[in-house]
Amino acid sequence: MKLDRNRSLRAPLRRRSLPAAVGVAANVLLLLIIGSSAHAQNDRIRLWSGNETGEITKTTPLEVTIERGSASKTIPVSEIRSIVLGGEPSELTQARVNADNGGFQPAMAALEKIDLAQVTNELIRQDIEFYKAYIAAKQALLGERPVAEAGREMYAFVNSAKESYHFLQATEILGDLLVASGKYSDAQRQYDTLAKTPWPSYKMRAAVLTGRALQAEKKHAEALQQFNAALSLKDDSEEGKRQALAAQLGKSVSLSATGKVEEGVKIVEEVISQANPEDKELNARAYNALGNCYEQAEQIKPALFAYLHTDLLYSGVPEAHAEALSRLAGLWEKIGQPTQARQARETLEERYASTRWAK
Amino acid sequence: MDFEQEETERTEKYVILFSSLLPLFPPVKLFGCRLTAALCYLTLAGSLRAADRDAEFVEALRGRGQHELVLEYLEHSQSSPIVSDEFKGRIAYEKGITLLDLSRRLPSAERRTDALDNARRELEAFAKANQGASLAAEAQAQLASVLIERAKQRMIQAEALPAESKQERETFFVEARSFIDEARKLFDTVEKAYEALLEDQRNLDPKTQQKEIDERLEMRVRLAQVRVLRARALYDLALTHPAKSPDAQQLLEQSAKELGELYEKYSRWPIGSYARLYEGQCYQALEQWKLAVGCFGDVTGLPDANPVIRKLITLAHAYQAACYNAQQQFDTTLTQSRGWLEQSQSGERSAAEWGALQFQIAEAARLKAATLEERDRQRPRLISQARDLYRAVSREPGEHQRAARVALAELGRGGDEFPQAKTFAEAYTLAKDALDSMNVAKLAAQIAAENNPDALSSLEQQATDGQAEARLNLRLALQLVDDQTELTQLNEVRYLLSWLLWEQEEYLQAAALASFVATRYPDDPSGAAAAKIALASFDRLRAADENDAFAAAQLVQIAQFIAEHWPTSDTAEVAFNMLLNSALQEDRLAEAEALVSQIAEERRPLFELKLANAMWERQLRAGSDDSQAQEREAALKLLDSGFAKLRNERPITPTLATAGLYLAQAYLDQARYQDAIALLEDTEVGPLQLLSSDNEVASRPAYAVEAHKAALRAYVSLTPPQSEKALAEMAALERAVEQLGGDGDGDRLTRIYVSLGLQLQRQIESFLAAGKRQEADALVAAFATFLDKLNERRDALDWATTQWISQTYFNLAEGLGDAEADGQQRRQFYERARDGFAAMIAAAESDASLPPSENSLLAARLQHAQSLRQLGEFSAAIDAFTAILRARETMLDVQTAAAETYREWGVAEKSPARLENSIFGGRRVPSTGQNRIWGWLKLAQIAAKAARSDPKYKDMFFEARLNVAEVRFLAAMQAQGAERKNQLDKAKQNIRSMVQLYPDLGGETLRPKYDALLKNIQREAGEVSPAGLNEFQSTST
Repeated sequence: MKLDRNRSLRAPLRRRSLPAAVGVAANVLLLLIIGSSAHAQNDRIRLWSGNETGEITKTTPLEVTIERGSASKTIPVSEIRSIVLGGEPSELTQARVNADNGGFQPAMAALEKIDLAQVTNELIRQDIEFYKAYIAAKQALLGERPVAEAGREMYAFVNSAKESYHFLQATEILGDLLVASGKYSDAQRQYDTLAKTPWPSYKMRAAVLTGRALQAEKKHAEALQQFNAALSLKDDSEEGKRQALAAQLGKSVSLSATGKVEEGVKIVEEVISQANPEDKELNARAYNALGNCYEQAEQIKPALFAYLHTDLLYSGVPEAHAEALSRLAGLWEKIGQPTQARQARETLEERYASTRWAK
Repeated sequence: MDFEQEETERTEKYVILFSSLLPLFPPVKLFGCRLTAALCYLTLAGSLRAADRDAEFVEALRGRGQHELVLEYLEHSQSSPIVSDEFKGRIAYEKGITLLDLSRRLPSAERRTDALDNARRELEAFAKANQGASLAAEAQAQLASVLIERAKQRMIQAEALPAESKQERETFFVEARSFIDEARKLFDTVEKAYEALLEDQRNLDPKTQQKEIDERLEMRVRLAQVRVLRARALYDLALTHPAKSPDAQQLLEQSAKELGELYEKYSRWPIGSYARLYEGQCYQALEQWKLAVGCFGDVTGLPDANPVIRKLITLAHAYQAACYNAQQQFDTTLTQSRGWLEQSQSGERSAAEWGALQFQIAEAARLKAATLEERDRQRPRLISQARDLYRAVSREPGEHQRAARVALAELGRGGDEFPQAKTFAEAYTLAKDALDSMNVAKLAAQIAAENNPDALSSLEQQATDGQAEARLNLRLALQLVDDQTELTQLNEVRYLLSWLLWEQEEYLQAAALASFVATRYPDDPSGAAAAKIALASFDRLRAADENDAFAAAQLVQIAQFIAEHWPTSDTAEVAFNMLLNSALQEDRLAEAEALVSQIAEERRPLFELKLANAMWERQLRAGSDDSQAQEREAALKLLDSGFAKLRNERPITPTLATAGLYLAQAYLDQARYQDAIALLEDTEVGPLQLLSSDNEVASRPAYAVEAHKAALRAYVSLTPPQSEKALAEMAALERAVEQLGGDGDGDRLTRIYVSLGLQLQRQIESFLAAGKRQEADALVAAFATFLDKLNERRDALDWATTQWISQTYFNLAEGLGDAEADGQQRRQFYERARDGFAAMIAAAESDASLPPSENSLLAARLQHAQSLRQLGEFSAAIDAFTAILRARETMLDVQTAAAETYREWGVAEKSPARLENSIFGGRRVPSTGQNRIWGWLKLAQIAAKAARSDPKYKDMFFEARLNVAEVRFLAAMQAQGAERKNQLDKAKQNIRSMVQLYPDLGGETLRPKYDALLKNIQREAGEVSPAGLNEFQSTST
């Protein structure tokens, strides 16, 4: 048989694709190797321990119900760390990441790009609205926009989304905004809402927040009572342990503010050693508290070292980062390093120009 | 069905099957479709048998780069009940090809060689155990490819050597040739094996033997593959010869011919296209551009629907572009090759073949831009195009990555803005790219410093930009952490940032970040490296400010952490050193010992020895303080045991070398002269041996000086002394001192000799104090013998040695006991000292250049005078003191010695006049009417004045006044009657005046002396119960 080179080589390649059996087998193999992957459009709930995927069918301020196949599961809000909704705009996902890391401007810019008219999923719409109000509130707490305006936005969200699983978070933020406005008793009423939930960790959280509000009022003796009250509640859940550490930290701040610096240092160091190193909020507060204690004891280098942790590791917590930068600028000057002082001040002015720390 | 028809119908399968061969064909080898290779098994077998499932599983894992996991799985499979026996039979084969594939991905040449050796072992074992089977033939084919890989490694090693290392390069090339020859022989064997197997399967029935037909087809494909590889090996062989050499030309032509024939034979199959591609490469190497381009053109003309074929086509385009570039036909590359590049599909460009093509197009753009005028409008566009392509290539691993980075560094950034990352992953990638760019620019700058100085500043700028960009993106990455961020990657970012901060000397920041990673995540892959940065940063902070207690405390803390968590690492050794030094510097010996006891047993001896060395150094600093005896003993014990444990360790470390020297010194202190000499002369670890063999460890001049000093001391202390060796050591010592340098006054050798003499004197004294009379006598005798011998040739000796001899006689005399025999020997030693110093003074008077300094001559004069004084030659001694004072009247030591001499003279000769001289001075200077020698009274006056500005003269004042009273008392003892009473009264009056003016009489040391003297005076005055100083107190009250 004479060979027709073109026919023998090219025609079959054009005519055929991979045999079907082969393709199926490849998929089977891939599944064997990789394991089952998540469905692209599923909602994903990240818990303090593990994840849940499926379709969220119902939310209340206290619970989220998720269905997977025929199984349904109700998850308390206290166990939820974050939720990514299937089919949500990528800008929302990006905004959540930015907001979580203190990048409020890019987060808001991303949210502004979303055309709400195109969003048909109610949960996604609620999430977008919540994050807009949340970011506005955080910016207000930093001094970047009026507190009252941010408060109104958050109230509007709470009123419009009464069944949102963000309800408690919104309440807490409202309390924070009231503290920033000097309305301490109103703030405490917001925090009391958290205490009315069935979970000990939230009761602890309410006490810690109230303690911090009292610290803002310079009522350290009463603040200590709140922190001790939080510590008296026993809760071995991850969030419970976290709140216990936050209460310890609050105690140390009030102790050092009342002159018991050494005791304060010991407690903060203990908190730092026990906290999850990736818990940005808690660690940023802790290192700043440690820096404050050392500053009070006029130990410049240890104070610098403590604030540097906040600057380098926890710059995603804007309030704490701004404070650290402000303190660092002064401390670098004290040890004769004007270039470092200038850099700290420049970063402070560049990133947190409207905050009280930059003024 | 005839053979060719069968093939035609199954071409689709062949495409898939050929892709499984890709690993054998560089450079596609790194990116072969392993998954499709696995599918090949499925297709041919027709069903999923247990053995096939296992094979697919390991193949898929290999495809995902999980080679270690595959090896582990295969190991486990040998005894696993769920793995089929059929698969168990091919485990060695699977191991072999896994190791072979792994070797291609390993970064270090050493590990690659190991993997290839192991692959070879496994495949050989499999082939041996399965002779006659088709898979055995395949194992041998794989084995041959191992050998080709080994050959290529040798070629890379050869190319890495500088051009002048011709012999070494040739050795590697010879080895490479031998590997390729061996591989070709194996290919022959495999070819025969396949031919024999195919012969057995000539007549198969498609109705009942479909499986066998499939297997026969697979074998035919593999046979073709082996033939192509054998022909291709000739091309590889050609590369082991110098380019364009007759051998290389001949081999390339032969390879091209064989590959051409195989292309004709197999042109219907993709393997034929591979043969054509390789044939083209042969012509490319022969610079026969037309033929090469034609061959590549046959491949680029293939239909492009299949991804595997697309890669082959892309490679052909890349080779073709290289041919165009070599002929400076840049436009052809920029249109034709670029045209294919623009047809790339999503995700394709990251593959190596596309990288090769992009690189050639970038080269064309860059080279064409270089041919254009500066003002040509095309130029910036071409440069920008080249930059973009180089950047793309530089981001993917592959054979052109490094060249692309260098080219990119040379082109510079071109004013690009730093791209802004939106996610952690983007920031991480940008940071890594920037770090790569920085490193490449630094590397290129090093080369440019020698070859292309004009490019240096732009490369340095590139490095600086890279550093800034990396820092920016690392910080940004830390702000973009989300739920998906891997903790190990996050810690890597933290570590990299700490490293950059350290590089930029921002040590406190670097320490904060690095110590966080190290202490919070010690088990993280970045943990140990971060610990190193933290340690180094705190060390720099402490070095910058010794009073920085914070840095010191943190340093100790991190060092302890490292020592606990990575006890066997190199960093732990540094950390232990720091901790040990810190503990020793602060005299925390117990802590240092505790630290050493915590060190892992196998590393402990070294640290014990370090501790022993440190303890011995403390002893050396403390001198011969008796209170240190216990510590001295402990140090010696530790030195002894530590040295014994490590003396056979090689190479010899500085710690061991130092310990050897210290141990010899310790033996000398214990009068173990033979032991000291045995150690010093030890042919392996002896300090003298280390010096004579120019061992690097003993290269420090200070080490040489101390070793020669110890040896000299040992040789002269032995009974009888080893004088010749001692003399040789003196000469060596002199040379070592010269090498030490920085000897401003040229007296260092003298000082060393004098200190050696003092050391011997102290040792004699210590023997006497310990009741070791015999040892003391032996040492004195041995040493004196040596000195006498040396003294005999004094005229031939230099100033320093003569001074040392004379001073040592003096010191020996001082150190002798009070026995009568001692008295005689003492006199002898003083006489030799006197004569020695006198000779030196005479020599200096005749040749003023002899003494290395004025002070040196003054010292000789003083010791001469002191020798005369000790011998009772008072008049001559006073003459000698006067001579010194004529030059330097205010030398208080000399004035004091002269006043002492008058007193001793007065006592010895019972001369009141000399005693008066002691108080009032002597040797009047006619021109001034003042005495040259002041005497105690004037000394007291001068000291009183000096004490007003410097309290150290206070003691001298009180001592001088005490001496006045004492000399009065001595005069009274020589006198009778009224004169006696007169002198006693004066002595008493002197003391009374002092008590009235200075009630504390100089303090706790001197007041008792005044009291004792006064009691003697009172006793001689007839008082039965002398009250001492109390007499004046009761009077005053």
